Amino acid sequence: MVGTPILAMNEISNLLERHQDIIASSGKPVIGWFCSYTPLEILLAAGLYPYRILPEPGRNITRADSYIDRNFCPYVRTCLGEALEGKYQFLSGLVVVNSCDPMRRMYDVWRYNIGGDFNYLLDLPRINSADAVAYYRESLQNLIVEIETHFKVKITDTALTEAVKSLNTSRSLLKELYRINRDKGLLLAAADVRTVVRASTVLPVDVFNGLLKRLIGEIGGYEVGVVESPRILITGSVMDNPRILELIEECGAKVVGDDLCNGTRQFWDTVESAADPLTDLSRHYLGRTPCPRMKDAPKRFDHVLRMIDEFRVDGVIFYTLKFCDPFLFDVPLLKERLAEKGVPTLRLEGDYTLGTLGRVRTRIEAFIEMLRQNVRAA
Amino acid sequence: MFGQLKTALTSHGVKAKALKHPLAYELMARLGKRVYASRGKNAQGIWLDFNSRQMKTALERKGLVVWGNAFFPFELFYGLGVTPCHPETIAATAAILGMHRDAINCAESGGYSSDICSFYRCAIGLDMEGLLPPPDIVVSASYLCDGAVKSFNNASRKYGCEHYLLDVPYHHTEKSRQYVAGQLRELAQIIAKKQGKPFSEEKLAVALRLSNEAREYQLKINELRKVSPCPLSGDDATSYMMDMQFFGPGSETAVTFYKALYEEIKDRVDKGEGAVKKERFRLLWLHYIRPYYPNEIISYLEANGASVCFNEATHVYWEPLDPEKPFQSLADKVLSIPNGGPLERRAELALKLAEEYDVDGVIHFSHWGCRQSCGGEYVIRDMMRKKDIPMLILDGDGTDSRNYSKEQTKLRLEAFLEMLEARR
Repeated sequence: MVGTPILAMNEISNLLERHQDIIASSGKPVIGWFCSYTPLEILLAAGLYPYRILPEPGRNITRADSYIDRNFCPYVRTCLGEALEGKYQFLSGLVVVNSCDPMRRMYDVWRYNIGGDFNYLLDLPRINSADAVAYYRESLQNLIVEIETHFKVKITDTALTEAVKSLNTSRSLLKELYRINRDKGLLLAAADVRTVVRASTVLPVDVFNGLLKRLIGEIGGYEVGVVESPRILITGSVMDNPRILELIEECGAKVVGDDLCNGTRQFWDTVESAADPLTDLSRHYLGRTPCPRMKDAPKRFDHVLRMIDEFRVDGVIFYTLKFCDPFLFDVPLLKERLAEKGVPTLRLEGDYTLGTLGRVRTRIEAFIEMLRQNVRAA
Repeated sequence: MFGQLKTALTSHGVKAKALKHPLAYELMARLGKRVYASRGKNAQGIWLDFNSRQMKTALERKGLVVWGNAFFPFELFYGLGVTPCHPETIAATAAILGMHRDAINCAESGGYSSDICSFYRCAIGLDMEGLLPPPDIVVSASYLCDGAVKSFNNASRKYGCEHYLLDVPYHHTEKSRQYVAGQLRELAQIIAKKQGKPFSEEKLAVALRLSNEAREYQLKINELRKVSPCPLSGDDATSYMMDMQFFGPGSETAVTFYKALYEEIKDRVDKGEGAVKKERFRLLWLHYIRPYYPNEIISYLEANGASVCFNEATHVYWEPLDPEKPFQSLADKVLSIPNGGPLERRAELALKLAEEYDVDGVIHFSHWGCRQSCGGEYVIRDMMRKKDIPMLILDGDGTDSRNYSKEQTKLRLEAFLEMLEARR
């Protein structure tokens, strides 16, 4: 099984590498986004090209040092560092969600030092009451007005419904990919799965959906493999460095699932059509599997616990970016929930540099060895 | 070494044991008020008395004990007649009493990262040690920092009680005002129901009038702080005065407090007295807090002729409240806070204050773990530079003394003052 070429996977990787050309040839204005709460449906319905800003690890983090405090979300610092170097000049605008302190201050620092013609800060309630849904719907409506005015476009309900459908397809397919990969003996390595999820945030949605369908079909055609390695779930903020996943798998474990911002939290739930498109979107984003920034933290814990059952997880690795407060406050409580369930945990911290790897290898090895003994004993 | 350690542990243990008893607070209230009054600091005595009695009442479990955070409009609590408890004040007080280290260690050994704001780490640790009065309901406002959302939520889960999160939007619009007002109305009903009595809008109106009265005195105080030498020490402004602004509005005591403080300050102005005898430099302090464990930051500045004549925390940023429209006007108060919304709001205020208070320089106290404040420090410094106002970014920590280096801090302050001197 190892080394089996998966053609659709190669194609996704190739397109991902060439995504800048694809963006350029689309001829559409590109909108940068950061947070998985960004309502991409609205951007798509406006005929814009949504592009998730997610720099590679090890890039330009110190470039932003005299622009933002060093004790600050390394994702934000890296994004700013790259922006200061002019890497995002191809963008026609930004939509930043008021999801956490680092995001809102990044929006401020970006506007002040980099500027741009269209920088929009979208409010996002932390609660999911009827009033919050109504308020968020208003905020979405306001975003629409601003986009329509600035880009001289019209966002129709039909276009919104179409966008909801396309993105729902992506979400369902991604979920299917996780499940089929699990059932087929984890044919795709965790880093490949991460590449697929990354592709979903930079490639045109129809192109991506087509490729993902092929990938699922291809994997489905293989015989079921047997996995004897310990099975890991990763929970955390943004996964900055897929090398961590490779490292875990090199140490003899398999990463079978995740609860990450650029992982299942981004696509696990689909938008349900029950009312007008904006109300549907508002309900979806406030009710989806939450980021720790939302008030309802136990809902995320439940997601983690469900994933553990569904993906038969042996151990959980917490992987957070340094200074991610919402996540840090959850750590003791989630650890406790996992301990009650008898699931061993390991806590790692990333800082958007490549230096983390060497330091954590021994800890990962020890953790996996412990899991291996647990599996044998069971 | 071991002897010292033992003494420290014993003393913490003794303090911790004593502070679980309501009587300790009765004693603190009485003694404190008397001691401060004898030193001509009536206002500080009133503040200590007020806080101690609130703690005592909460420990005796009289009334509905409501935990609230620093940016929630406390007028609502006083209007409802609950027993408020504010863990952030308690964390700062623990640092004053030297109990912060054990509390912080306790939180960290419970899995809380040392990267989290130390006020919350300290409060969580004190709670783990059984030093906080158990809440009947936990309330926090979302708009200043992520920590307030998370730490208060964790507390509610520990106690199995409700956490009401006042969700405050970024944009200040008619819609956001209605959204916040609606939540405040809902919370008033929830609390009244828990108290088993109908909600009285009249009592809330009284609290709003009291808040306005306190606000008037505060404006007068702030006006007097423009005088040179500045009559109020930066130490006082960044501690009990700021604390009363967070947790006092709506209470009768806040009016008494600000009146007393105004009279003290007026008296000092009349006598030409100030925190610094000969004021060589006037400084503006950015950030709400300062370190509360023993430290020499402000005393060093004052000893060198630099007075912290104003701090952004005690600026009156809100309009007078309208008792006829209590929820809307509290919503406006919440939505107009300078540290919420776009950074320009805070930065432009800082520039305005620098000008109004005729300052020679600005110190941004970069409290470890405070993302909302530190995230904007360089932008503010750049905006100050364009107006030719020097600004020092001073790294530090409000509660965790491990992040305070006396010598290093002194060196930075020294260099800053030398630079100010050279500019004269």
